[in-house]
Amino acid sequence: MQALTLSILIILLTQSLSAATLMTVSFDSDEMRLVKETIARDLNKHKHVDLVIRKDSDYEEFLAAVRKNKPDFLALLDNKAVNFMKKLENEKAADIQHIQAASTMALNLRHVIQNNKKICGIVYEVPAFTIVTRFRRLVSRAITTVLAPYRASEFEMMITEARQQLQKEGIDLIGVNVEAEGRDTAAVNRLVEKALVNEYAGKKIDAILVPSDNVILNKEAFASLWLRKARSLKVPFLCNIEKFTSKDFDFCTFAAYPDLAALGHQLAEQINESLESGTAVAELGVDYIIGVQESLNINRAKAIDLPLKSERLDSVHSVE
Amino acid sequence: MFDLRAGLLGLCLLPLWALPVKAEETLGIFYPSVKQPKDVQKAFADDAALKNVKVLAFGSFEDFQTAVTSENITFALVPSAYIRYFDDFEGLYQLTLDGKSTFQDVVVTLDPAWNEARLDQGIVGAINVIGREKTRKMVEDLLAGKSFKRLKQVSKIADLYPLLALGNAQYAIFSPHDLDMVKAEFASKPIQVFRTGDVLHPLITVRKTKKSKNGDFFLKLSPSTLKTLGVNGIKSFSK
Repeated sequence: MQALTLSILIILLTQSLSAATLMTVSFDSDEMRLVKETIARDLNKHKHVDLVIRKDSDYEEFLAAVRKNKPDFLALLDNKAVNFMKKLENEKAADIQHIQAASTMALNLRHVIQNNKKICGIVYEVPAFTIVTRFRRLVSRAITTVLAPYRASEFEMMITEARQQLQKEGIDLIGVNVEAEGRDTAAVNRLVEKALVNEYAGKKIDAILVPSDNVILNKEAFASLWLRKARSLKVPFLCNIEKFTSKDFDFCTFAAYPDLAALGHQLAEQINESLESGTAVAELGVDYIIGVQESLNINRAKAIDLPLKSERLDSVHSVE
Repeated sequence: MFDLRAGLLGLCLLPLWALPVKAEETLGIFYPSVKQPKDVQKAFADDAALKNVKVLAFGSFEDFQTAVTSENITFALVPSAYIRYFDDFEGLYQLTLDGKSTFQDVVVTLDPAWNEARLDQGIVGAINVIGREKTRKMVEDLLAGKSFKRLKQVSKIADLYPLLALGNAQYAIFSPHDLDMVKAEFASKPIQVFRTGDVLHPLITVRKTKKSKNGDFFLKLSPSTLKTLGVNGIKSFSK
């Protein structure tokens, strides 16, 4: 009897020791809910705490939740949650210092957590490689030159890597730094206008990559430059935002955007690697997002006489 | 002479006769391939051999496993590893390619510096075919004792090559059929690092609690239907 009681105690103790507390910090949105649910399913042996923040939530609110729930690990969805964690790293209390985190759905994550040793994660922006190669498989025209307006102050690393990745596919990515003549909106917009052309520096452009950057897609430029050019040039505009391919926007021809369930699996895998194998998050680093969904605006494609491979259109969400 | 009662009875029964024949059993298909699940489902559902079978194809293992527990699935077309790690189903038919029951997976890289000797320092990408935890075990078995640093899993074949191209992993495990498709799709060519041991082609299995169900009709599946999964023949399964 004593042996049985001891065995049960050992089993219970082992289970409670191996189960960690994972606290998710996110906004209240359908997209984030889907990612959180996937993480919770994949890591169901651990205890989950959900902290929903608002735009006006402050660090003290976050810190109070950390102190109350005593998480071992944080899943940070959005830049605000990442900023809270960065601040938390400065706390001296012993019960907080061990906390590590994984993040996604935060913009420009690699840049934001550069050299950080306590946060790993998944880049939320679908990489140029994925957007361009997924688009290429749908069209029966060669795609060899792609133009990408970008801001060097924040996205140089991303563009450099994208150029190398696409080069291996025989695709020349021409990055145009639209801050070259100044960082003010007017200067940026002037260079965007110059960059959005059928031919750039004597090279025929096969596609234009729309950046997920509010500074470049600013209010002044969006309708007067981006929409106007997308509708007047004979070049497909590609992006990672589904709604830009909608009928209402009539803007991009193709989008490859995050598959949120796959993203949840990918983040859960990183968290699991840290919790189960003890791999340091610094070693896990920041990975590219892998799983995507695709959307193709057929009307836009027709408007620019883009030859499509009809047998491949079943795999994408077509907008007509 | 016209019998009015017989005529009325006939009219009453006519709608019943005109109703489509109800599917007797359900076949669940989960076998990651370059084809979309809806294309696979359509190919199998349209095959005359399965005219009385309801066909459901799944794009991820999690969806398949949910259906296995909630739906009345009698037969399952699954990767052969499934019956090694799950007890609910047992092998009934072996799918084959050119008469062969087995193939060897190929471990590839994009960077020649990542050779076989460095596998223990590299991250390996693989398809999640039997659930995340069990797939890890399956890959360890597949690599027959060769150690690797970490495993990264994706749900779709289409996501496996980007793992390599984007640098999330240094190695990836492909079936020869999927690798051929990938080679046709991308300009950068994967380099074969080594081949794994033999792997059985997918199996058609039957739920153990419904073992008495006759699945002979599967033997009449047409090669063109099977081709959607990269195989072209079928035979009885023997352990």
